Amino acid sequence: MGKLIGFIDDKLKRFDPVWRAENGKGGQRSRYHDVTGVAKYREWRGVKDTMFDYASWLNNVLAMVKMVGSAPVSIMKGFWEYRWMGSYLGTFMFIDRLFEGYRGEELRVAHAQMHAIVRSLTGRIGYILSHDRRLGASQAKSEKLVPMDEVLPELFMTGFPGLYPVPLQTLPEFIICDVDQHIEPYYIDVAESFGLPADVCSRCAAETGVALDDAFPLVGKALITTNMPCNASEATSMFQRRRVGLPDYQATLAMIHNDDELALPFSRQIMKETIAFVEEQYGVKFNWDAFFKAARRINEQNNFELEKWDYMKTGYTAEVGVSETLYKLYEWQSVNGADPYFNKVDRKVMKRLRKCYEKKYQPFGGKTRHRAFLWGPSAVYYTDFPTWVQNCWGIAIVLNMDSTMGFNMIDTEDPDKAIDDLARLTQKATMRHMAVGGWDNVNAVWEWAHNFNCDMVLMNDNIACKGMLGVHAIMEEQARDLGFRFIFIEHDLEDSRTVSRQNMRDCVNQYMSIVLNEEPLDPTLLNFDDSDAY
Amino acid sequence: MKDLKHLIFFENLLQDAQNELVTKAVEEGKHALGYNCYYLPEVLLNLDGCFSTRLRAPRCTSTDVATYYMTGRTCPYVRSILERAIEGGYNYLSAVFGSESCAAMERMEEHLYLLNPIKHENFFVTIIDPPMRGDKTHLDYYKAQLRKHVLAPMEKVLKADTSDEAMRRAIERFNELCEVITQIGEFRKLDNPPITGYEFHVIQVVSEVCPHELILPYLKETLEEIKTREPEPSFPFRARVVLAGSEVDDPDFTKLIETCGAMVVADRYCFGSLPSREKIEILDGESAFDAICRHYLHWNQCARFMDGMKIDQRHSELLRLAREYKADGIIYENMKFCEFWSYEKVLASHIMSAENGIPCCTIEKEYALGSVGQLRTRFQAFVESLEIKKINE
Repeated sequence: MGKLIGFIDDKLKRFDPVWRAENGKGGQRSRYHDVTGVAKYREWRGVKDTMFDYASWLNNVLAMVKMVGSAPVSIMKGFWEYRWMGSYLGTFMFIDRLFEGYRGEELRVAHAQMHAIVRSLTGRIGYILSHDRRLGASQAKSEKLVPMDEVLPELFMTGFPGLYPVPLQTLPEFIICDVDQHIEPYYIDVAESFGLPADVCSRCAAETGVALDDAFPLVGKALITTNMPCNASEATSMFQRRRVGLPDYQATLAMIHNDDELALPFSRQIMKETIAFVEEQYGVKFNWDAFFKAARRINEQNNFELEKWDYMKTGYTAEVGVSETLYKLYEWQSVNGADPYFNKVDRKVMKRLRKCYEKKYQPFGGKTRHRAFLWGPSAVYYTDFPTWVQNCWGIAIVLNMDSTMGFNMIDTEDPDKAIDDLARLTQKATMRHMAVGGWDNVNAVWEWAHNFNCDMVLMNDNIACKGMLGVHAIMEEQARDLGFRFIFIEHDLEDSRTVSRQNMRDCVNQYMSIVLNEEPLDPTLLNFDDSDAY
Repeated sequence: MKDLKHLIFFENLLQDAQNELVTKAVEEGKHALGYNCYYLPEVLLNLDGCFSTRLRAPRCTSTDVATYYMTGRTCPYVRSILERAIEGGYNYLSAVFGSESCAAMERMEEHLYLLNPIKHENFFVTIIDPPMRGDKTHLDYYKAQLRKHVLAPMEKVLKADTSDEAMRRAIERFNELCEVITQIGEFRKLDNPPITGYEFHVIQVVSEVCPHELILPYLKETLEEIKTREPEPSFPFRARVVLAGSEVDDPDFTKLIETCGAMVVADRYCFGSLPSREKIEILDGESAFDAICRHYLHWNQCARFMDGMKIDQRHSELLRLAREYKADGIIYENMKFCEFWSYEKVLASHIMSAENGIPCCTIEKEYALGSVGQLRTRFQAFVESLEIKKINE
């Protein structure tokens, strides 16, 4: 059987874009229609990997079918009511794009993790829409749900097993903008047509637009907002609380949060008040046993994460690039200990990673030329950017800033200690721990990059992120002093009209060709038009 | 109206951060303490042996170096301050007391210790994490922040007396200044005030940037002068407006509005007097420090506050000002790239106009007064619309 597969692989290798790029006969981009980014055919990765990839694709389709089956009427109404729902149809194209060039072990790890995300997200969409008052759900049914800011980690909500936390912005904005680069500009325009200046963070502008457009699912009986991650996010909360119109509590954790002496007692108190708010509004008691059970899951995940990092430091790992980034982001920020399925996936993946390390497995056929730390808030309209830099220039994104979110352990026996740990974990959320709260946090990148044996730092340069813009030159000077190759990649977070994907690619292309005098691994990826693609 | 006796003197004081009164106080051995934001209680920086000076960068025409450090996409106010620091314009300062009020300001304050551009013996920068709600939890946090990041270094580095008695003395001096400014400001409530918005703006800003004890005699004299000052025979403006929003430390901006026909009768912006010149009251059994913290958290109208109580307060406070100062409309301004006021301006102007029937004009501005022609057109159009509204009524 092995010989037969080898024979077929050899005969069909001319369809493999990696082989084609190596042999000057095309590359990854050759199989796409220009502008729309519609693929002419699926990526040929050899018999085994193609079959595995296709089976994984079908598995994700199955999850989507289950979602529709779980609440067919609500889902159809959702498509009719919410503009953002249509964008979820691009999920499959999105996943294909994310894992271009993935082979062997990294492909298997990536799909295992991506399926966990798809499974969880589709379940969440079905559940939320079936409880959405805007779509006809009753008040009583809807009131089991607790809408909260997407940047507030949900771990504390596991202490309310009868309630269902809904990261409010997740469905219409936080995740869908990863899938479809054209969806959030609509909401940004809604906000700007109301008068919001165009120079504020586009993520928060989009959230404001969603609020003004009444495109948030209408669920729950009280809302939890937060000051995380940044100024614009705090400000957009004003619009959301007003538009959603529910009693609200603002979980305002310490902004300068590394100071345990002052920040910890404060953030602890905020967590206590947040829990008390839910108890009061929903008439339920916090269940420490349920919380500890979820905390044990988080602890297991964090232990796995620390072990993974040890492998990542060596380069002998199958978890790399965008699969690592997205999984960590979703598992930590959106699941946060609530779903045991993620621990199950983690255990499987860890087994694979341990084996990869033992046999010194190198992802992407060992073609990595540079190891990079990706720092700063990433452009969500170009989620597959890490895949592109790997395929085009051989730059492996070893770790992403958001993967360094809170990884402290939670005490699972003593409520007093647990609440302190919870506060520490909660205040180190997405885009927040490193991007704001003081110089030491952003400056930490060099130590991270050094520890992960990176020679390069790619600095996401969100053109509207005041926190990161404020340290622009200092970061560049630090890179020079410390000997890191350093590229600013300009982007506008959720508005691909301001800085296109090609503009982002050009930042890397110019540095790699002009400064480092390197040739691309796949020249078809240098310049192409994907402006109309999902 | 006859010119105010000290107006030109005051205007000259605003031409440089280190003006003659600041220089005099420093030469007398006092510590000049810079700050940017209302979250830093001015009164605490005026303990014995110290004086506060709110940081400005007057006559700043270029922010090239600061723009290199912070890009051209951050608040022009903070870039101007950084530029002035790098130019050596703040070498008289013993310390800068900063606040993480917004990311841009915090980043600028970080540059003051990363680049170390201010050359003064034992110069230091300290930054507080200010509260985002008005409740007790945040009041306690505010107190803890001020104790650690303001009082402790003042005691340790500047050897300032931070005892309750010293704070009470500082409050007494501060209240005296506030009383004078408030009395001057109250004249703006009159139908035909004996003071213009521009003149008041000059007076308010000098009171923030100069050592209090050196500027106070001039302010007192000015108050007496205004009491007997003959106003114009009839109200010389076509409308009365409240100016609200982010940082405005250039009285020429107020002058620009007034030359378009609208008197600025109330100043509800950073560097303005509403709030900032309310007297601090110490309740029975309360320590001076607690009174200061309570006072500043209560009066703070920053767009950064997230809780409903403070959001409602800043709207109701503006309604109160519009009513008491008989304003025909409100001009909302925000410094370009100011995230908080970008949002607040949009929401508040909607609330004021759509829900309270008060006409609003919203504009965005640079730190250094530029694009005057465009702004003038906006203000003139707004004034005309106010006049038409009056005619229709």
